[in-house]
Amino acid sequence: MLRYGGKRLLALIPVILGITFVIFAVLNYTPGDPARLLLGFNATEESVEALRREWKLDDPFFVRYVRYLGGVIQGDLGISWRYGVPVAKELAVRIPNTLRLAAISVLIMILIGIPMGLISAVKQYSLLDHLMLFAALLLTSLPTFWLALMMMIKFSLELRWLPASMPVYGAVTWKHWVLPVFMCAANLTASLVRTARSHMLEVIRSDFVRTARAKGATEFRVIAYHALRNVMMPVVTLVGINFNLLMGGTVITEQVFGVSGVGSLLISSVRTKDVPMAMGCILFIAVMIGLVNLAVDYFYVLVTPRLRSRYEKKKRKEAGA
Amino acid sequence: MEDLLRIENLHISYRTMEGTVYAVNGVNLSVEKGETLGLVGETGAGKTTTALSILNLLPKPAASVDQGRILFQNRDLLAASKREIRKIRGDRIAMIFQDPMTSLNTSFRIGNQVAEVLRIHRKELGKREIEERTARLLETVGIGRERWDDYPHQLSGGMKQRVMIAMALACSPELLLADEPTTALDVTIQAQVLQLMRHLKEEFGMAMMLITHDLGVVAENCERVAVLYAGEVLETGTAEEIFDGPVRHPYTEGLLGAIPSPDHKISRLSPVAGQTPDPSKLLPGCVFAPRCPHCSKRCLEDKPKERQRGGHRIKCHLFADKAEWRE
Amino acid sequence: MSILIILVLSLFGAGCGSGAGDLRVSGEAGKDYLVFGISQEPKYLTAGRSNGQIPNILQTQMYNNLISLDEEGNCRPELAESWSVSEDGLTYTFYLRKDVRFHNGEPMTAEDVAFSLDYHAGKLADYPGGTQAKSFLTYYDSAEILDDYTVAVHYTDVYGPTLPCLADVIVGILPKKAFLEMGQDLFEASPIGTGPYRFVESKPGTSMELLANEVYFDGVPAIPHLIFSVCSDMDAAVIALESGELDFLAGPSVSYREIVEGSPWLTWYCADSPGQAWIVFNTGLGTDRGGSRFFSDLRVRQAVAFAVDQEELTQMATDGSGKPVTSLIPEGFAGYSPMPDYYPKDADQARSLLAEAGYPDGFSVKVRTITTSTYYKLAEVLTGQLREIGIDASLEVLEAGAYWASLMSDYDYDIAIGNYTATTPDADIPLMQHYATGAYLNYSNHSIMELDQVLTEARGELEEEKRVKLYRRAMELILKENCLVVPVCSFAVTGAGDSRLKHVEAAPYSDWKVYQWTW
Repeated sequence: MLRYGGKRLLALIPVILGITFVIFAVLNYTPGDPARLLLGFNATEESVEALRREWKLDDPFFVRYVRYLGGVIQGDLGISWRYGVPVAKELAVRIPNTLRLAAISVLIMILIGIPMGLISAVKQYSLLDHLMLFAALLLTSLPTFWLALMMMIKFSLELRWLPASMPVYGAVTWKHWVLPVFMCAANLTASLVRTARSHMLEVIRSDFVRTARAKGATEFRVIAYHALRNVMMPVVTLVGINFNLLMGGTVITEQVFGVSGVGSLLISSVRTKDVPMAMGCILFIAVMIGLVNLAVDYFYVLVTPRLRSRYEKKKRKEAGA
Repeated sequence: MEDLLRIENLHISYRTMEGTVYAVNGVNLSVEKGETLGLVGETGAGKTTTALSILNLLPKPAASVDQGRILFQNRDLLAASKREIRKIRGDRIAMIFQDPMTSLNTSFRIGNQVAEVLRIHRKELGKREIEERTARLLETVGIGRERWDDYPHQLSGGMKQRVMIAMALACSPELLLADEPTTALDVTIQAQVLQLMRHLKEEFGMAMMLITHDLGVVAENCERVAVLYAGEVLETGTAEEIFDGPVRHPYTEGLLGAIPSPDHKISRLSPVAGQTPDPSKLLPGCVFAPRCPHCSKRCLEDKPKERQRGGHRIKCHLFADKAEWRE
Repeated sequence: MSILIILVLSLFGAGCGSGAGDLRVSGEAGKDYLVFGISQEPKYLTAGRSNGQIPNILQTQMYNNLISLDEEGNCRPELAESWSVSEDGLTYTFYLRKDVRFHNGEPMTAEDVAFSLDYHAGKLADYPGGTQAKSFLTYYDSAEILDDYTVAVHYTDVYGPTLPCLADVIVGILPKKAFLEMGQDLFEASPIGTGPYRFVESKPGTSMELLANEVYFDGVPAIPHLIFSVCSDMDAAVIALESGELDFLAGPSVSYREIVEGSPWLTWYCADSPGQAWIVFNTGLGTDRGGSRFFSDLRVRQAVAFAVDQEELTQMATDGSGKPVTSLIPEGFAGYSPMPDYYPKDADQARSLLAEAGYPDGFSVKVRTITTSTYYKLAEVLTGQLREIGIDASLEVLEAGAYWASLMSDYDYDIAIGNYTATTPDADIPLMQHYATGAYLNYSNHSIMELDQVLTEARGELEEEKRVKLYRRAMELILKENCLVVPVCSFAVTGAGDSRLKHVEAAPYSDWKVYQWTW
């Protein structure tokens, strides 16, 4: 199993390389001169030229790409063209925020979304089931942007329970994270509830669940032990997908609530064609997504004996007697 | 001989999108200690539904038991609490299902799946003992104990069904419900598995309700037979009474006539004409009347009552006037 | 199910309609900081390097100029106590205050002034491009240091608005020693000026923190901590304002006025800004590069001018806060005089002009715009008005980078929206920047000799009346004779803030003087 993990990890490298290449090319060949964008439209030709020289923008594409890669391998992500700060430094500030949003959202998905879906399936047609389905439907249908603003109005303005945005002056408390996390997690949790529910509904009708019941197992054991194992796979895959969606997809949340995350950094650096910064953000996102996919695949193999037996040796070969 | 299991006037219906489906309409059955009862009928006759209802394994909320009693050791299983039923399942009454491919949990090792029965009902035995017993069970059904750690996907169809049998027998139940246990297997394996079941039945002194649509299997394995059609038991009797006759329910006649025989050369099979009735409609008269070659006006209007001669019971108006056949 | 939906929605509905209760905690007056919301990040904090409404706000707090302008446009002392002009109008001598210190403690002297002017004008060898302030130093030649506190600024030619330009916040004075020691990039990371607020730190993309300058020569600001918060989403910013997390918000769109005025805790500030929006054509007039297929024909341009309903455009694009304009020179600017509307709405004439030009059935064209709401709405309404005269117009939305490239260098558009943001109240600035041959902001892709001559003459003319006459001629050339652009409207500068703030005045040039405010 470890070998499988190791192989997959190595396989990640060419993928990341490919991504960096494509993005670098796109940033390079799309219209818009980064120097002019930075200096503004009133800037003189000379100053634009000087900047282009400083950034070595006129070197051939491949030279610049290889130079960039060389830097990355040594741990140098370059200097932001826009801010003049090292890319790694700014990312170091922003990554924890994005990760926090994503991680807490995933936690909510797992701790609230999955149980809700499972209970809903087990107690199909009950009031609980209807309530949960309704809530899930509401959350998937209502645009999260609107929902977030509505919550802001309700909880920040009227009830004054929660702050409306990240403070620029003063300490950040857990209260500041509530609304942003809600906005990130709401939609995705709702879809997870529905997925978990529908898979569970399928699984509890399957033959092996009937066999488990016929053996006299308690309902709890039937659900939590027999059924759950088989539901986990699509559910975990969806959690993985959702986490990946959050990697770059927290942009709107960041902008609405003023969270300093990677998403808004990416957008603004692409807009201003701040190539080093944009590449840094993409690199982070690509690596995260790669790792998460790997984890999900690994989990998949771990839980599916049919696949796992390919990668591990038999436990009790000849158990004697 | 006392009845181990007696089903009285069982009515089961399913609520579906298109309306109510009447699956079981007044079934009366009994299984005696140590005997094998064959439950035969066409697809959709209500055999599986009847069997599932014994252990309360019917799909809820769609299915509902509208009437009837199922007496096991003088206790009505339909009135028993969930806890009581769970105690019986796998311990006193065990069930094996039709498709071994899907009936085993692919995520767990077969040894564990068999051991689970013991872990549920014989907790007091302790880990070592349970493992040992499981290994022996595997051997008994013809699977070596070295396959304890295998996963279901590593076994063939026949072997999977053997695992199911091992699971069913773990606690030496008094009654085994076998729902078409060999239908999904090919003929040679079928024979092996049936032989195994016969052997074990003798060894354990088990009673068995063998559900099948294969009359050949019935003939080989069952002492008594019940013929199910459209949710009703049309005929019950010993294997000889059913197969050798001389009198039979017209439906049974039709079934037997439909079997090809290697001895007689005939150019065409004679199947029973027509189709099983629509289960969402309850007919006023005899359920088989529309297809019966002896159908009369009375058959279409009045439901025949069950009449018996000795242990042989038949539901047909043809026997209404025969003196020996009493209600 | 449906009952539940109604219940939940009514929960929210109840929330939206009712005014809130006590939003702000009473103990907060007398707090020592102010959070100022801005809609985007200023590109640079070094004086001169950024131009626009947002950078202006910050530069106003951090830097000083030699002189300043009062409401009537008269020059007042700032860093210079007094000044004199030479006979030939080519040398301005400034006598500087002696009590001014930079934020790093160094005293401000004539050296710093000379350095700053040279830097802005691009006269320094290391920084040949200069800054955006270069266009405010027209004809600048050199700055001669006469003594520690006296500097003579030499110009190569007489330039009417010399002094008002020097008063523009963009020509801020920088510390020579610190700047040269640190170099442009490091200086940008921690800029130093003489202004009422000094720079503390900035979090890229998020906020900038300033601190009151304890030794400011004109009095220490009442509010010690000033934090600029970048709010990319206006809705969220207004909510933050209402909930007390923002104390002031610059530039909220007019659609929020009702909310702000409806709240007892907030005040709405509004002033006419001299900025303008126009419809520009890619004329190709007098240049080698061709212009638009359609709009290089004067008649087609005039047809559009006749088709345009200014009132409607203004109303729709600015939510009623703007005013239609007929002159490209904002009212109140030196050189301004009211101009007639050369192309009052006349759909028939528009159509006949089109037919004359060879398009009796109109033609298909794309109106280029960007996503900023004023531009977008203007373009939207314009397409409707064009369709009325038979031009099948549709919108083409570009990203800012590509958009400005197409209006300033590529010239690959047909018709688009242009604008002018004003900071110095002199006609020369907008006209030279946009209408001279080869000017950077020459959106209409034209080169008209006579216009260049008129503008050059006007900028060198010191007599008010003559200037006005010259500029009228310029307007005629631009609007009447060549219809290079169609002027639409002026904007309003808006702001919304906590009502407890005192001494807040609406700033037409976006120069909110936070250093004058108190809680």
